[in-house]
Parts: sequence; structure tokens; C-alpha cells
Amino acid sequence: MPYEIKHSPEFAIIDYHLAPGESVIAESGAMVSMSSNIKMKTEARGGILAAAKRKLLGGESIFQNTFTAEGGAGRVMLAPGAPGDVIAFDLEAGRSLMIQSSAYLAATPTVQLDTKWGGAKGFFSGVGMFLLKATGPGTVFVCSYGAIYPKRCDGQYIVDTDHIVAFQDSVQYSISKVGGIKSLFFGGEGLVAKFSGQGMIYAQTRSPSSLAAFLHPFRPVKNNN
Amino acid sequence: MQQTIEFGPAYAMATIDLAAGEDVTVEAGSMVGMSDGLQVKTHIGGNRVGFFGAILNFLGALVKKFLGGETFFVNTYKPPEGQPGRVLVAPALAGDIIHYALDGTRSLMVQASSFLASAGGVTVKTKFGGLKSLFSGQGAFWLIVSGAGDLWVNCYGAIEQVDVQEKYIVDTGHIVGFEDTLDYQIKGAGGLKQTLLSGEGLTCHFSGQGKLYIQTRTVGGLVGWITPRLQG
Amino acid sequence: MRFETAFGPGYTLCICRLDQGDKVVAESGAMVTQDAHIRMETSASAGKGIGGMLKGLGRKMFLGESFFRNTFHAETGPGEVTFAPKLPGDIMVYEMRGQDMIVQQTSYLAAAPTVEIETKWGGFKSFFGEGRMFWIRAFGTGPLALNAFGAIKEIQVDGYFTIDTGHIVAFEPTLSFSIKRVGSWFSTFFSSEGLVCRFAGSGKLFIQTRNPNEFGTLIGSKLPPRNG
Repeated sequence: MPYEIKHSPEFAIIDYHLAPGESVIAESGAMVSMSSNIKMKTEARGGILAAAKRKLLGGESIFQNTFTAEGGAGRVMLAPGAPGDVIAFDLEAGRSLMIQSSAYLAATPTVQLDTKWGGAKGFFSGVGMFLLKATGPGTVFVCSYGAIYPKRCDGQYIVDTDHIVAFQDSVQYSISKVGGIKSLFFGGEGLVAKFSGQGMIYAQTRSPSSLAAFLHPFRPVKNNN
Repeated sequence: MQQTIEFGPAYAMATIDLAAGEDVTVEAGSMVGMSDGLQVKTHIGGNRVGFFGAILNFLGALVKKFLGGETFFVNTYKPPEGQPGRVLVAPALAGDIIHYALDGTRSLMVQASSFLASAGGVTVKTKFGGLKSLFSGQGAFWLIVSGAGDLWVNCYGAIEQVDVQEKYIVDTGHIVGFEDTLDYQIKGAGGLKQTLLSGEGLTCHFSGQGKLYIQTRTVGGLVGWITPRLQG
Repeated sequence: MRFETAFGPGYTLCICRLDQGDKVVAESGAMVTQDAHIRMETSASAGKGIGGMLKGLGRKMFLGESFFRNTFHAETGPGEVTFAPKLPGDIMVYEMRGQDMIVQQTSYLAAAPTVEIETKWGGFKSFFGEGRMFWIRAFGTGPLALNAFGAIKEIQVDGYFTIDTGHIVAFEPTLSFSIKRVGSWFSTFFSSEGLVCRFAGSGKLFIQTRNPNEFGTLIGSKLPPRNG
């Protein structure tokens, strides 16, 4: 295995051992450390149009870094910004994984990435968050805030949208509120995704919006002078 | 002195048991709990002695605070005369704690915000990391820890130890500490374009032989990740 | 109804398995996943109706933080619902057996309906932790899931022990306590060592290894400013 995922599930990183000439592509800012013969190339991945699509939807940096081992084997460690886990998915040719955009960390160069808009209700409550479709062949690395709780959907399953990391393309989803209007104001449970069909769903055990809400009162206040 | 570290690597806490006559110096704000009767004295980290030394230490601390670094105030805990004492210590961020028994032969360079506690004959000197490190997101100050005694270091995330043989490159935000046998140089991530667009910021190029300690998360990374989700 | 925990101590998930007819009560906003047939009701307190709603609102106004709870009911068959707290950290399941437990309000995650919660605990008025900390009294029987910021450590106090108030999760009321400041004006100005709580007597004390206010202050100061 060219890679090892260490310190799972609390502060997982990918420790990637690249063969000479081999590459791995990662989100900007993910590099922790690397051996001196690794060449890093920064580019807008998937061409300008795809990058523009992602940029328009806000939030995500449009640039990715390609790390290549030159003149010998090399080592690069990659980490996400959020505390939590990293999981590798080996995708067969043509099979896809739907990934929440900020959960995408890295992939081998043969993985195709396509952005899929989250839907009018806004699948996710954060700015510029959308669904990414990763199609094999290749390996895609997904990161989570918290640990990853995998669940096999066999009919119907409900997941709070803040907690969705990824799911197989064989399941369908619809967004709704749980428990009616009263719950929306008092229940705290906002939007949920109702999954149906057969396939795997990956949930994260913490919610980024809860952390954002917690940190809110600690932020400096804008000075309107 | 006995110590144990529990709950690593996620939320490590150190339990330090002091024998009669011993004391431990802990970064301010890190005390979780303590046994009864411990004497607590606050001072500013810094090695100058005497009245003017104290003033210089104080000014230095203010400068550090202004530059966005650690204020480096420490509390020294000492049990009552002839009795043992216990102090529980933990940092503000999630992550691990590592304990080093320093034997006096080697010094460690430690990122200022990673210092948690020290005991025995350990001396801690501050070193300004140079202008480049002001922008590293890491804070501008490093500590040189030498002498013989105990050192506790905290990190954000888990700790990865790398035995550098010749050369190794590390994102500056991820450096916890390293042995003084390593030489280092801080550079941008490549060309100007790379430094700005890659998101990598500054990197530290190590050469020589020695141990390097890396943390698997950074405060900058956490801030960058949570910012798009903030409201208002 | 039983609780299991997984992925501790970092980002513990509380997994609740319900037999048909079972109910579980959880803090609002805590649900992560659930089987589709489980029904969720919002009740401001264990009771229903206007009286219950008013009691809940009373709690909200009094405590300054909403303390609404949801009841999950596995009416039509057995099922699973999972819960997580707002902050990272561990979850512990404490079996209540008729004795009281004083719990920091944000540490309450979920419980069997037979565990009751009371907010008018006489001792808490004098108990002013850093920032806003509110205390509830839990009594009754059944499992009670408590979450913490960080890992949870149980300390058996026999004599005296002093804890930074931001690190307290829960304690048995057989312990008495007094609040003090640590260090001089100098240290509190610069060092943020705030209030500590000196426990006395004999009893169990549960602490968390991280302090939410310290974490919030450290990270919050580095975030972009907010509107008012």
C-alpha cells in the first residue's frame, strides 16, 4: 500500500510513499511535510471551467497541489484543516462516491472530480458547500470533522445534513425538516437528508455548524467606524 | 517526581506528582486541578534576573503579546513544606502531550505555544524566529530548552516523529520541536505564485541529522476550515 | 433501551438502541442519524401540554440557554438513533440508581425518560463559573449520557481537591465546595487562570480535560470579526 492513514480517528493524516514518478493531488494547504525530492505543482484542477464552477459556489480554493516524486521515491504527509478522521476509498472504474465538498482531501490522478450542485434547499448550511462526485478508477481520500460512522442504507435512513460526509451513488436522497415546524424552532434538528435505496452512507460524529455557533460569541466584534 | 499522561492523543492531560521540596512550572491557564495547599507563584517566562531583569522580562512579554505570540506567563506550583502535591495540567487545544527527560547533553528547539510545563534543572530561553516566522502563522518565537530535568510539550493534533537523515521539508505551522543538531531555513513554498496560491504558506527546510516532531493539525488550518461556516 | 458509545474519547458517538415501545430523551440538536420509523417529538419538559411548554420556557429564560429536549419513540418496531454533542470530546454513560448528580447543563446529552432533571438546585446560585455555566440536578433511575469537552476523568475526592471550574462535568452532592481565584491580580490579568472550585468531603467528581472557554478565546480571537 503506497499510503498509510495514521492517528485515526482523532487527527488522522495520510502518510504517502510515492514511487519514482508517482503523483498524488491534494487540496491547497494540506501538505504537512515532504521529502526534499518531492516537486509540488499548483494548478487549477480540471481546467478553468471546472475550477470556476467550484469557485463561484464559494468557499473552496480553486487550486490544488500535485505532489510528484522525482529522481527516486518520496514521502509526503497530508492533513485536512478540521480535526477528525481520514478514510481512503478505492473506486473501481465508473463507480462514484458523492462527497461533501469540504470533506474532499486528496486523490490519485486518475480520479475524475465533478461538482454537483446541492439543490435549491441547500444541502448544507455553510457557504459554498456542495456535493462533489468522485468517479474511479483510483483512490479518493475523504476527511471528516469527528469520527466516521458508516451505515448501510437498506430502505430508508435519516441523517442530519451537518453530519453528512459521503455516500455511494446508489442511494437517493431528499432534504426535509424533521418533526414539523415546531421542531425547526425548538427542536434544534434543522434539515435532514432522507436516504433511500441500497448503499453505504458515511456520517461524521460532529457538526461544523455547532462548532461555528459555539465560537461565535468569542469572535472580535466589527468596528463600524 | 512522577508523572503520567492520559487520554492522548485526543485530549491528553498530564498528572504530575511532586515529592516534598519539588516544584513544577506550568504555562499559565493550563492548570486543571491540584491537591490542597499548593503555593502558586506567577512569573513571566524569561531568564533575566534581578529587578531590571524582571522589567525587561515584562517588556519582552508585552512585545510578544503585541506580536501575536504567546504571553509566556507561567505559574510555579510548590506543595506545602514537607508534603507531596499533585497538579493536573492540560493545554487549551485538543491534542497530545509529550514528556521529555532531558539529560543535559542536548537542547530542544520548541515552538513557543507548545510549551506546557517544566521541572528540575531545565532552562528555557526565548529566540525570535526572524521576520519570516512572523508570517508563518505559527507565532514569532521559539524556545531553546536545555539543561537536565523534565519538559512537557503539547501539540495540536497527534505527534509524528521524523528521524531526519539529510533533508526534510515541513510546513511551519506543523512544527512542534526539533533537536538542536538540525539546521533549518524558512522559505516560501516555491515561487511566489506557489506560495500565494498553494495555500501552503511557509515551509521549513531541515538539514542534518536529528529528531523532528510534527503535529498533525494547525490552528491556521482549523481557522481556515471553520471560517466559511461562520455566520454574520 | 440501552446506550453504547463509539469513537471515544475524541468524537464519541452515543448509539441508542430502542426496543419496540421504548423512548429516549435527548438535548435538542443532538441527533446525528436515526432509523426512519422512529418518531421525534419536541417537549419542553418531560410533561406535555401548556404546562410543560411554560416550564421549558422558564428554563430557557432562567438559564439563558435553551434547554429543550426531544423524545425519540420507537413506536412501530425496534430501532437505532445516534446522538452527538455540540463540541468534540467524550461521552460517558452513568447509571443512575436513585442518587443525585449535579451536572453542568451543557454536559447533558441524553437519558432514559426515568431520569429526571431539575433546574432549581439550591446550591447553584452561588456557583458562578467562567462565562456562562449553569447547573442541573439529575435524579431518578436509568442511564444518563453525559458529554464532555475533552476526555472524562473520574476523581474520587477524599479530603480536598481543587479544580478549575471550566473543567467540571458533574459531581455527587455529597461533596461541598467553595469558589476561589488562583494567583494574584497579576496572574489573572495575564494568565487567564480564573475561578477554581475547591471540593471537600467524600464523593465522585467527573472532570473534562479541556476548558471550552479557553478554547473559544484562543480560536475566537483569530477568527474574522462578527457583526455586533
